Amino acid sequence: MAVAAASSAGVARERIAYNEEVVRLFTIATIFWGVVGFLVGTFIAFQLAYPWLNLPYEWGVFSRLRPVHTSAVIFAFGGNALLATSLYVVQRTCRAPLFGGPALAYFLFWGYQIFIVLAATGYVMGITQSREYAEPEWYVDLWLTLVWVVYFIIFFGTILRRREPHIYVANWFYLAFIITIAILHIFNNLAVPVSWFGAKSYSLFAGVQDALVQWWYGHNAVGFFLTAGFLGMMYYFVPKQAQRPVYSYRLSIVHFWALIFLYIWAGPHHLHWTALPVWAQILGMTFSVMLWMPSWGGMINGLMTLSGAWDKLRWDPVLRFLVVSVAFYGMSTFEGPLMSVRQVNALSHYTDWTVGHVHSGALGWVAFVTFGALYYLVPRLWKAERLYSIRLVEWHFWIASLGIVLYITSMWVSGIMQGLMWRTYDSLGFLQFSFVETVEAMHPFYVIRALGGVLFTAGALIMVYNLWRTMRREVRAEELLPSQAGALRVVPAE
Amino acid sequence: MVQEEFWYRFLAQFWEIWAFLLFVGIILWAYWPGNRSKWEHAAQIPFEEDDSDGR
Repeated sequence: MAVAAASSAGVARERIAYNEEVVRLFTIATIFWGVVGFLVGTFIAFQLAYPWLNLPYEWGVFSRLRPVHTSAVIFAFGGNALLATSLYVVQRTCRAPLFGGPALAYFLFWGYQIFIVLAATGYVMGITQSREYAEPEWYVDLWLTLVWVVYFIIFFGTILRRREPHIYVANWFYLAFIITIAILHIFNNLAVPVSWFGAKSYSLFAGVQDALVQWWYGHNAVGFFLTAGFLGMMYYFVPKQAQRPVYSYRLSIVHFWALIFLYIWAGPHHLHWTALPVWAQILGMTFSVMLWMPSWGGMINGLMTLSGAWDKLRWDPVLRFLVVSVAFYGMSTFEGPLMSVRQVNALSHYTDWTVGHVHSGALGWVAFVTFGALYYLVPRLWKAERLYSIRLVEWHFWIASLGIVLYITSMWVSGIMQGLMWRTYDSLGFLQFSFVETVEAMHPFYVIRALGGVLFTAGALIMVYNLWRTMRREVRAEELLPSQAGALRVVPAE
Repeated sequence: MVQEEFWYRFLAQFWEIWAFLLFVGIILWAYWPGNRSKWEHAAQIPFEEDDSDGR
């Protein structure tokens, strides 16, 4: 446990024993699982482009590795990032150490890593519920429930013990994320195990009810895991890195409650043109379109925090990561409601457009805001003078941005082409193209997408090197602009 | 008992209106002029910690 000092509005200095050790552990886990997730994702992208890369073993094929990629990036990389930042932010903004002490925090850390390893090893051995983003079987689900309740106890207990009377907005978003994910996880995974010592179980639900529960879970995993949780990150790290308070605190309150009121209803848009009743489809579509309000409220609030300080974007690459992530948040949450409109969905669903949309949110928003937070946190947590290299952050930013552009644009073209080919009729009313012809037409775009993945992963590896040297408190000799040398120093000059 | 259930069912069918009014109330609360100084303090919370802590 690191002992840190905190000052109350610069008046009374008191020393609060923040638990930074567990934040350091979660930070390392974030970096490690991020690299694993990006590497697997790039490999399966090449498998789609070159099918001979499907290894001649049952664990080496796309279908087994795809959930390893999605779970690794969402729950291992994203989850550890949320755990690291939420435990850091809640202590600082409440001016209270973690509730439950180091023992409970260590249980949370190791318990969550065990969940990841149990889930991933199960996937490659073929143990799966076949529910997208909820693939782990019943015994892993029970374990995660226990770990998650401990997370809630630590987080909420810290809020209850706060010395700051007001609960800062970032903590509201983190708390909404923790509570909602618990509810979603429990209901979607209600299942009957076939035997006490076997992995196999069957869902409690059947038919279209089963599908609706799954997508109520699935979309709100996007809404509360990948959106609300990372918005909590945005509301702390953007103001801190920009050294300006959030643009409008009042807007952040409206943003929060609009998101809470609307998101939970959007799930049915994953089941357009299926056995789900049309009224439920239209309900899901309507609430999805209304989500433009919190989406743009959050984006405006994040971007306008830089109002009067836009010049910082020129020389602070860490802030650039954070601000570009907010821009991608605005872009992908503009695209999402558009795709939830039934007529647009008729073209986009089951095509690569969906895959591109998910990745503009995942790479551009979730990963970029996490990179920004990591670059902010590591020098502070390891008491380094500053980041090892600012130049390498620049390189990471541009290489990763180029990778995202290749990924999204190739999937837009590929997806819309695929959707149009599926619905093209000839003069006699027969389908013009066979399925394999659409697959052949998509090949060049699959190659471009995989190259985008290579660039994104390369950028992440540069970050790993930079952060590793920062953890060793090394500083690279490089020429910095005068503004950089002053502002990017983490330790204030004595 | 029957009477209570009647009122519960009667009011529950207007749930959109109740949720909407609650949301309007939240907006009024957020933008109420008297609360302005409270939010200005809240926005400063991340900066009240000392950045040189622990060193």
